[in-house]
Amino acid sequence: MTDELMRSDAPRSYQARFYRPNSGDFEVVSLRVEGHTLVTATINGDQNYELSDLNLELTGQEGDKIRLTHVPTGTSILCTDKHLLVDLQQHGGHGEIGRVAKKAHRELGSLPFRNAAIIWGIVGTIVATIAGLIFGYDPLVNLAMKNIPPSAEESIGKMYADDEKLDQKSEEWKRVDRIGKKLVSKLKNNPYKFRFYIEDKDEINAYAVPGGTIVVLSKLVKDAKSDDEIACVMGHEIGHVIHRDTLRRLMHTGGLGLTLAIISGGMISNEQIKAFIPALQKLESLNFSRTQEAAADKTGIRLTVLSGYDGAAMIEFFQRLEKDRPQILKDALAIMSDHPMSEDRIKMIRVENAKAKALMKQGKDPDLD
Amino acid sequence: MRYEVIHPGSNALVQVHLDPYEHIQAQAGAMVSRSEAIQVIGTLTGGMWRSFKRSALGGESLFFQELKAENGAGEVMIAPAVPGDIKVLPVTGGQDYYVKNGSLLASFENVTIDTKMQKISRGLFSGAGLFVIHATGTGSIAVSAFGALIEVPVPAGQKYVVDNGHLVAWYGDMEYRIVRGGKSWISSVTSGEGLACEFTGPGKIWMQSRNPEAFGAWIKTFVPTGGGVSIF
Ligand SMILES: [Zn+2]
Repeated sequence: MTDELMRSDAPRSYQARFYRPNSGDFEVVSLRVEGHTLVTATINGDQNYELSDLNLELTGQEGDKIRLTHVPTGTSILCTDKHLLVDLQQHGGHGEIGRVAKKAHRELGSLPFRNAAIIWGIVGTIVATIAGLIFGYDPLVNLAMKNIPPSAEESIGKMYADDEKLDQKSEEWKRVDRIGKKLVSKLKNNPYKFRFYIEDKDEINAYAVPGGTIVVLSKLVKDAKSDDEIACVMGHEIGHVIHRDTLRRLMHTGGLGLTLAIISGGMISNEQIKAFIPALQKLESLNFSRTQEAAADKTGIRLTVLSGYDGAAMIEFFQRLEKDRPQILKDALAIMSDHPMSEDRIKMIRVENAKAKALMKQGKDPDLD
Repeated sequence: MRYEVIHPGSNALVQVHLDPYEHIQAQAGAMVSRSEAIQVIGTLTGGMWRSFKRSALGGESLFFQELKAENGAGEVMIAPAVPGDIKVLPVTGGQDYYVKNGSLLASFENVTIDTKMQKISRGLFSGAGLFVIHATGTGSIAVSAFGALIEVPVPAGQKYVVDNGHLVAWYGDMEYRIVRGGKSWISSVTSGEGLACEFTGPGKIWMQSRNPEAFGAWIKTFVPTGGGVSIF
């Protein structure tokens, strides 16, 4: 190689950590690249490795460690000096190691940018904390929400759906899944992968988990007189999902620490998750604000009509529910519940249903936001 | 400078002999005693910004105290708040260490300590705590455990799983990802099996025989409630 001939100076040496196979202990060694070999100087003398026998990768928590594995023996050599990559690039030539070294060198070059992002995360946290003290908690939750991608929301949903009590096999489930799929197929720009489940529970209800998991309680499916009724309820829950209502609620319950961790892109401790889990376990009893409920109703009815179901079925369903409820419970609910009063709700649903149908007749789609 | 762990086991402390003008960094409040020659210097180690990061975000006290032999040779003793063992780990060969928040008792010679914020790179629920202490340079660090301190070497390519609450320190050469202890994420956290870190060798891990979070929860069962809620 020409550049090798031109080099009159001694090869550069690097401090490295030498791990023998089957050992977690290292020996400090000095490395140098000579021709097509990597020479490691240990206390017991030099040891040579053919460059073509080495496997190179970036490792460590920050991805800033160069790890060379000698494939035939399983010996690992770790080094932090990125100039080693330049040497490997030059001496590895067109071989695999030269190519990988070039790529790794480029990756390491972009690391400072990543560190800058971390610093900004810290600054962001401090600014957000101060903002929180001045403006209260809600703007912080909104800010944090912006930093939660739908994929992260989905991972919360998956955590929940891990629970074995949920059914995704029975005939009832197939019905719910079919209706749900029909509804979500009408959503535009939908970032969520919806999943539908049935939970065995003697209660007429349904709830939404962040990220597109919707759980319908078994009694609701049994008591529903038509697919339209199920579609209305599911449309309402889909409304909660796309408005990210459950997530917002959970953020409030999860506390400031969790919110800040999300804003800053930080790691979350077990303690913070523990604060969050009880709320996640009682998802079905989370109360949304009346505004959130009304918005979910609106989106739900429009989606239901758009999917070819009758939005008026929601009203029948409500009225049947009301009749089944003892008066005293009705009064209690009216005082305590954040759900809009049934009368107002029915009126709104009737209007939305009619509006959506009229639009459809003119060949237009109702707005789903 | 000479340092050694005395009374190893559940009542361990570190005894340090300093030659004139030598100094160490110790967790604030960890000093047990000092001889006349030793001065406690409240410098903001690593500058104002680093100290602020540590205190505001790392849960460490504002000062990592500097203990310096200003007036001749002297001796200082340091101990952690919790009952448990201490080990002095060498920082050498470019090997850096990550230490769980609060477990770094002191650093000796040319070791720089900094707070690293962990990134949510593997999904939302990753976590040995938001921030960990990163030690680099040459010298030694003293890490303290709640209970016994167990060293586990992990050969190259092998994996080893440690519960988050038991984790103390690990080589920077290692990579880890978060895994769950129980069947599901929810059962992991509620069953107390918690989240765990799965490390990939080569490298070494140090863990403590008792989990402070679990211990705290156990103590709480004897304390009448009515206490406040922690928000961070
Ligand atoms: Zn609702």
